[in-house]
Amino acid sequence: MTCAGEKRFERIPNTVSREQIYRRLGQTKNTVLTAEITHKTGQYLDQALGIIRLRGVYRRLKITEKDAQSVRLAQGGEIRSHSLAVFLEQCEEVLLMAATAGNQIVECIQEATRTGDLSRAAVYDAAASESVDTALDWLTNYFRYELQRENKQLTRLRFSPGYGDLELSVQRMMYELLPLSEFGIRLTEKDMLQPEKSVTAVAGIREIL
Amino acid sequence: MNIRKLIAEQIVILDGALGTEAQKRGLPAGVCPERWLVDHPRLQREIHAEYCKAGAHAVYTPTFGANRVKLGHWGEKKASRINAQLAAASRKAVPKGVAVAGDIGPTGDFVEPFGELGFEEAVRIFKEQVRGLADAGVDLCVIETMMDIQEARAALLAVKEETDLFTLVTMTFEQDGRTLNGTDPVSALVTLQSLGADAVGCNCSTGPEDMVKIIARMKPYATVPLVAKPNAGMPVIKKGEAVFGMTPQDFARSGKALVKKGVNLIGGCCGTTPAHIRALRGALVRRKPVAPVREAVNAVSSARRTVEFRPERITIIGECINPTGKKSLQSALKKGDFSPVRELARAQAEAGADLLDVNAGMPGIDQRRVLLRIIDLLSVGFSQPLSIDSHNKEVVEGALRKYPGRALLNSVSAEPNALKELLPVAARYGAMIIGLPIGEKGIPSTSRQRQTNARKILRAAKKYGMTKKDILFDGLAMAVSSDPKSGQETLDFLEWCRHEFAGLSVIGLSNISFGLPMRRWLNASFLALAKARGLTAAIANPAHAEIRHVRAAVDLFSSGDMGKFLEIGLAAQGLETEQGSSEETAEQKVYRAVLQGDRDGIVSRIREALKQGAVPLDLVDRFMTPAMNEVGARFEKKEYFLPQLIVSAETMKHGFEFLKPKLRTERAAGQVKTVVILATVKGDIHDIGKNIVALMLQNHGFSVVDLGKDVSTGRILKEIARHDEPVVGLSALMTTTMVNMGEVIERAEKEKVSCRFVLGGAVVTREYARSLGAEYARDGVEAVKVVRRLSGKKA
Repeated sequence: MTCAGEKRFERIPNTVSREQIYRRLGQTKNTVLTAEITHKTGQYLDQALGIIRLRGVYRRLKITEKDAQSVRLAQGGEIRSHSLAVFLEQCEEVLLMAATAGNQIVECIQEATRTGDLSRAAVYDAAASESVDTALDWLTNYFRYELQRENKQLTRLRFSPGYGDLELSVQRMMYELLPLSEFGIRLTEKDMLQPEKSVTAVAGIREIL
Repeated sequence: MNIRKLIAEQIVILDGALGTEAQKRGLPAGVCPERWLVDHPRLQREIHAEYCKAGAHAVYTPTFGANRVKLGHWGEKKASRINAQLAAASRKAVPKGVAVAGDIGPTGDFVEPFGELGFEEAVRIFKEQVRGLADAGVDLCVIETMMDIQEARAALLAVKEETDLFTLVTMTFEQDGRTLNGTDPVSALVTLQSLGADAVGCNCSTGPEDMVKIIARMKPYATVPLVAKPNAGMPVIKKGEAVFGMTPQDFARSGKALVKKGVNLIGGCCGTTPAHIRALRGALVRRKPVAPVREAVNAVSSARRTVEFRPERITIIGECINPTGKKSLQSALKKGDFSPVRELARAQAEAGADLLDVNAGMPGIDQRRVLLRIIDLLSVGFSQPLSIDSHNKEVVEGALRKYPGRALLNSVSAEPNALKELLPVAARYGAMIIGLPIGEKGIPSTSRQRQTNARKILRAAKKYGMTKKDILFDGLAMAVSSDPKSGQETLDFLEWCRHEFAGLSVIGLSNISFGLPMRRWLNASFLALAKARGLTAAIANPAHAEIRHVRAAVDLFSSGDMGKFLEIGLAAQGLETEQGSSEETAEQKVYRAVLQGDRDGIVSRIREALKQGAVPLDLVDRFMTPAMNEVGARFEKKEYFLPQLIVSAETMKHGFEFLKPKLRTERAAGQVKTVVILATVKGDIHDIGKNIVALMLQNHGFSVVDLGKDVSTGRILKEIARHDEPVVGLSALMTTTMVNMGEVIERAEKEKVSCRFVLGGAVVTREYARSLGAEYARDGVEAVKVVRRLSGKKA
């Protein structure tokens, strides 16, 4: 059962580029790769991309009140963050979103770490992190098309709890509003999402005049 | 109106944005736009009238969201009826000579295999809409703003199966030139025009400038007219407010550029107004359209890639996904385990397969169901287009209907039944085919008889609208072990096919060497010979190095593709040089094993060195540690990236563990190791970086106590108290958990615990560490240096 303004995506295509993942792993134009390491890393990467299952959800909510320090949302959510309040100054609505790379990849990273296969774990980890970011990009781009028909626009940037002055505790509010419990994502007592390769974010919606 | 005639004679002007025009006339937010327009027909008439006055040759019905899924969000149920009402109002509003285009937009859900919506269900949903539009007498249909190629296919099939209407399909592309689901313009075009779209193009997306690039990419492959309906630029912020920045004049200027690149139909999408369309019409009224440049395209596509069969190259169709003779694959498929299929696809893709052949022909399974599962799996996970390997009509029909691209059908023989059953199916779904010149009398032994059968296949295919370019003629490579002359007959056929018949050809390469030794070399040699006689494509195993290398050489000689050759050639050469020179000493081989991260080979290298009299401690101090230092230096210079650093560190660890018992006896008894306590602080569960640091420190002889992740301050302090002046490494990934590092350091000071701190993690900076009176390490290599310094060891 979905809430008003909510849309779920059970299969988000993984459009992450290999270059993006290699860059995250530190590859630059100076990097000299042997055939062996190219083959091995490529193999790990293929395995990771086969295991990662990207899913996502977003929910559109009206801003009911805002001041310099906080933004209040319909359905009772409140986000306290000065930089977010400034960022959302021209916006009437927000888009809350979440994406996950799934349980299986996290289990595989843990297993590789446990058995001392750290190179595999590092490649899987980088692939999952980049993929889940790409999934958020995909969600926002998808939503942009929906908005364009209404002559509205989504802010180019998005904020995630735990970064800048957006407290990690905001995660709990987003968890409840999206609602992520129905999406197979858990929230720890310390407001961390599980599976670990899951992210939430908030972006603003404004009118095009 | 004869739309085809109009397109041939002039640039066809389409209308502009409708939603924003309706908003200007009072369409409120939060209502179903289609229902609102049904209730306000006068406003719909006004908008159409303005666009007609501005010079549009065709207007779109306001039915973009009038499918069952989208209407359902508003509680509306009768999709067909609403479409008919809105299309009838459009019909009534436009003067004679202006066409009414029945508009079909996306459902908002993605279609399998890319989403949850079933393919046939999607076709049914669109058919409801099409019936309403057709009943109201629209002149053509438009499928627009599609981001999922499979949804576009479903909508196109719905129109084609319900009507004979001229159909435009436009996809929406991101700034990177692909749709949200990753489809590039050429693949979209090849897929849609082969499935029967009468015109293809792009709409919405970005502004007209970016669309010029998309049209330029499509035009060389287009057998149909091209369409562009761009936004009025991208929204920009002016005086703090978002606006579409493009004036009608700028828009018209960009329209000229689009027409120059080959657009035949042009209009406007978001942000455009009747003024934009008027300016467009004014600018383009005298422009002559550029007709489609190709009559047929010898190319297949997946959702993310197009492969064109080019005479100067050898196109390789990977043959391995075939259960014949593969017991483990058979058993997996019977159990519904598709992981070996993925593995076979991956290996072939990595080895450079252009297409993947898929065959599920084996007893004991539902062939159709299994093949469809394989197609879904490969369409999502791999970009190689597929070759559907079956002669069973039901299986072929199911596969071609569902495949989200333009497939190759392997194969259609010259037997009357095959021609009658398979050709219409291939033609309906726009597939290319492999024409197998086998007739009623079986496999012809001579090239001449095969030529007769090839002509017969072409004649039959033409009856269904196919062309020579839609067929790869099979040279029928047979085992030379049973008929030594058969190779020559195949080569003669290939030469005839290329030079006299002007057709494309293919062979099933590995048949040639059946029953003989040195099969890979025979296959590779025959491939080179066949290419010299005119071969276009081979069904082969690209993972065989001999095939790969011959192909690279042939491609180099015939097309001059030096870049591709060097990529393959240098990788092969690299493998050889990595083997090292024969003059290397055993110790140098140990050094190289660590440097190159030879995890599996390090122990045997060490054994060899020890056998030749090397001293264990000497091996570590003079060869392994310097090799690891060199790895660190290369990592710092960014010549190595993280996986290389880790693999070398893991190699070092393997070697170290093997030598450990021998080292104990050699190391000075009183030597005390520095203890390093590592922890990811409270609240943070991201620990991959910390684990790499642990591995690096262990390799450099430090005694590491890894407390793990999400570790409380109390637990860290308790561990510190157990050791004599340890070094404590703390990591955090997030700004919100980073503050817990400060808490640990503060409490350590308060409790007067003696230790030194090193901080690291994605958001931690040198300045932040300094502000807490701690050291900083960016990565594992720097961590080793810092800990060495703190413990008084030489860096």
